[in-house]
Amino acid sequence: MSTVLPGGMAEGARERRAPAAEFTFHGDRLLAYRDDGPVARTLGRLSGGQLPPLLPLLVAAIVTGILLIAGVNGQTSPAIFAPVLALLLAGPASTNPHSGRLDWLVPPIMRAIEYGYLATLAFAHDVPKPLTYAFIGVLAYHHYDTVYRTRQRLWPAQWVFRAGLGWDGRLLIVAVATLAGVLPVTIAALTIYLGLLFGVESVYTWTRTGTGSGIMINLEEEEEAAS
Amino acid sequence: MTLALVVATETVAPESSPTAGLAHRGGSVVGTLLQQLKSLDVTDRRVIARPGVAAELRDLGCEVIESKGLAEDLREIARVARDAREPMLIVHGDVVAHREVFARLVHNSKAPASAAATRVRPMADSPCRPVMRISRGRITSAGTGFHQVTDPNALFRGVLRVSELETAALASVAERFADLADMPDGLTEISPVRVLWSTPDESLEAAGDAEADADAEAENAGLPPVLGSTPVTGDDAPALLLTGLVRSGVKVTGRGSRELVCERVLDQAQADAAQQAVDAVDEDRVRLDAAVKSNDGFFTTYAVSTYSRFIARWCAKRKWTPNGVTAISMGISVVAAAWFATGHRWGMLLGGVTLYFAFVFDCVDGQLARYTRQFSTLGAWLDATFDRAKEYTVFAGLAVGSTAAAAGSSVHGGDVWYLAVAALTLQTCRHMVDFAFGASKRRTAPEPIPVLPLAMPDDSVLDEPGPAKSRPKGGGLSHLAVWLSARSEKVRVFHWFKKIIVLPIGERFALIALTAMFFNAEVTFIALLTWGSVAASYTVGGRLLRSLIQPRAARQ
Repeated sequence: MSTVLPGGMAEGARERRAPAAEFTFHGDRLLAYRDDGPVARTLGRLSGGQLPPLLPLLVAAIVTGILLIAGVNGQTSPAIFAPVLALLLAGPASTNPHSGRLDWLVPPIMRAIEYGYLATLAFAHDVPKPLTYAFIGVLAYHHYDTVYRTRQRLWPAQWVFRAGLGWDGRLLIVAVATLAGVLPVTIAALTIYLGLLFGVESVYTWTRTGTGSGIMINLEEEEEAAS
Repeated sequence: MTLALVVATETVAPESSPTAGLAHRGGSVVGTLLQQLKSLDVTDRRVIARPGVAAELRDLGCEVIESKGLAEDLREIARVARDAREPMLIVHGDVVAHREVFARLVHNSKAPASAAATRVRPMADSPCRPVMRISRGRITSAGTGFHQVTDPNALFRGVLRVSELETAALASVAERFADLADMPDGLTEISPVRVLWSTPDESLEAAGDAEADADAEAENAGLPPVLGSTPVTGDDAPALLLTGLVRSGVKVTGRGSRELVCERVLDQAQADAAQQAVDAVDEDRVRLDAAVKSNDGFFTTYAVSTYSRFIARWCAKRKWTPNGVTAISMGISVVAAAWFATGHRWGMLLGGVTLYFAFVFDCVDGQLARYTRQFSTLGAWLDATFDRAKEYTVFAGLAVGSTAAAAGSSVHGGDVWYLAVAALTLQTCRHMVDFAFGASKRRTAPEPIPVLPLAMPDDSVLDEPGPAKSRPKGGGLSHLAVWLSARSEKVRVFHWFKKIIVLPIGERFALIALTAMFFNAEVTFIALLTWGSVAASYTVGGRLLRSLIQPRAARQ
């Protein structure tokens, strides 16, 4: 070796071989997948993100499940109060960074609680069944939309999550409506309102964004088994 | 928009006419090359050549930059690279290749830099082309007459693409090499290959390149022996630039294909042989086959992808867009849902068949996008969203049909709306597991390649301190499970079992179609819920284990 140019020495090179403990982590996406509404976010701000998300949520899921099994028919059955419990348990973690090893379980468990609760209540209180299916379908559209957009680095505006009421808001409204005995009307109104909100916002955003610059994003990196 | 610099400095030994001017397809090699580049939206094409032959190349219609030697070649390249605002392609003027080779490099917009490569077997001491070592798709060391590569496993084919973000690095590398070329002892000649392996096979596998062997065999069998048999003698600016970029820590990807030809030709016999090799390949078919995703499920691979690519080509000929095909597929599933909603056996049979074709077109849109390289964010969103919409529309159709069917008929499944909601919920939760796990996955950043001095003749500082380990260290059930899972990939039956058990989209559509055709909606939903629950347990269980053995995330 007759000349060494700036840019590196052999010794320096060897040092850099030690694998750096660097990780890429998309906790912000997990937070978006939670779909928290204003109430849960307020609780989250109060807790300061110090509470872990997974354990309280598991408790909430089990308790909600037990309450739903215990009975949902009466207008004042204990299941009506499950949302309050779920909110108190899962809401404060809405500001947690979700960096735990198993925190990827949070969004699917949240969806199971939400869809399970809403559908069970609706079926028990004579809401037309196709309407119930459409209601859950609208929610599913919103949740898939959030995922498919953030995957392309396009984030839905924050107001969409607020206007969508969040899982917390939807559960509370449905519980109150059940108490008041106006569940079918409420579900119909929510389906129309949320359907229009999510649908129109999607179309509006896409017409404004255009088709993107054609940058190829490797979707396979996330398209796991069940796609 | 790409800027191409064609380096036509090589001459046919012992005369002095440029190899780029060899006769080829009624014109010259470089003429064909420039034509191929032009057809790929490479708007700015310049040729670097020696003054003696510049006139000859100008007669061929090239925009020629005259240069007297290697140092000047590099300075000219640096000058162009400094001003470049678009990606650059550095090509040898005597490359005979399929247009698709350039297309893949030009359209590879994500990679900082990429080079045409061919995997080869462990080679002799004096290869005829610049050698490189590729590890997990990335070039970790590249060679020239002045730069040795330890354990090379690939050859550089004379085409280098540098994205607009790295043209500054390219310019700086070119300038530094130009200075070295001007110095009397700036660059030291060295034998190109250094062999370190004790057992070559193990080393190949350890590098994650188990396929390299098979690749190499196919490669050696496919090409006429006359190609690549003459050592390149002249100044090789492209190989120097590649080496410089790799040694500067730029991520350069090796891009190659077993089927496609990309060869430098140094005399007329080679030019003719290369032309024959190019003509022997159905280029469009290679491109079409590459449009099929390689990691699809069992049903998709064997019942749809075997022929859906031809529908994709048919659509491409009619200038249909992928989004149009997505819409067609959605339309077909609405028709299928309507048939299911009739509540008659013939409706169920028609619905099942229609649903199958909806799924075929669901595969066609992606294949069409890859075949015609029409990628868009909207397209990806539409494809994914409509996939879900199709499935859940069919659920609704089935539920309507089940209630509508006459009581006592075999189609009547009673009120199954609650089952439809349950199936929707389970499927959405399963998807959320995938999405959330994907978002939380901690990927270890790729190890940076150490920066090496450009004048250093060998690359021994890159040597691994010890042999690479393929089995994760440490004990415990989780490690064993993950290790078993990785090993079982190698057995075909296990590979498909693991794909089928998670009930991917193809299997779901097939399950819905078949159970609806021969039974009723109730059976369909119960089958979906049962298989889906097994799939969910399998996936969640496996990922729990995986998560537990992962290192803790750095708090942000």
